[in-house]
Amino acid sequence: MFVVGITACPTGIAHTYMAQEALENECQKRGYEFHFETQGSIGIENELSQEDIDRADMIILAVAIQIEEEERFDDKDIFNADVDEAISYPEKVIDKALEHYHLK
Amino acid sequence: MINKDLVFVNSTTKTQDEVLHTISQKAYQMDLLTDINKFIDAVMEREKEFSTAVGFGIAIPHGLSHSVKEAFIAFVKPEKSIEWGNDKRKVDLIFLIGVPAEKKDILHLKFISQISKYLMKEEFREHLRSCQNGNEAFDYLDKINKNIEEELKCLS
Repeated sequence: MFVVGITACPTGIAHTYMAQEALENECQKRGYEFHFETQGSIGIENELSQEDIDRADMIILAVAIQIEEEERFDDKDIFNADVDEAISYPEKVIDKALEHYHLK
Repeated sequence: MINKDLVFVNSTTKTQDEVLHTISQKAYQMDLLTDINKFIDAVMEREKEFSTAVGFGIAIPHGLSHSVKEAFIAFVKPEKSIEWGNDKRKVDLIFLIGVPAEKKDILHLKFISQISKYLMKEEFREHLRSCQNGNEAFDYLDKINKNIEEELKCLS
């Protein structure tokens, strides 16, 4: 299982990175391969390549703002999640994503 | 980034408002802020978007404002849990962050992003909860501070 995603919140100071950490921890716990990009006050970090996105089994966008370089996801089936929920209940977000992609 | 004078353990503050004012007052005295009210407005504006009480008993209020002269992180562990945000979540670990609106200091922002990640670790939270006084909490946060500096050095 390869999961990619982006986390981003309005000020891009704290939530963006907490959500990234929470989702990464949850993926790690489940033995998934993962790559989460952050779009915060520092700009884009840990950037996803088109190759990553094309290869992913699940694409999770936990974003509360308009993201940059959205065209990378054109024609892709995306699962949208709340930044808040990703921080507090990452297991629920991953479960819902699995359901979305009928991988459960 | 973590300043000893901005670490408050067993603080008697009882409300969100009181926490914000107490810290902002101190930050103002330390010449980190030029305007207490403007800063608190920025923090509350952010809070409206969605609550900064993110679970695990943590709140991480933050303001991006012209009233901030130099980025800072304050830590408050109140004596008793405080109700935070619109949904009144109980919190007992509060990090208040101030970031200047203009001159973006990447290092400061990096540091804050790293601290945010630390907060997701249970060990980090429990250690902070076990601190009996400001010195203990400061020593621990300062150690983390140094770890982060090392990590950032490796990255750059």
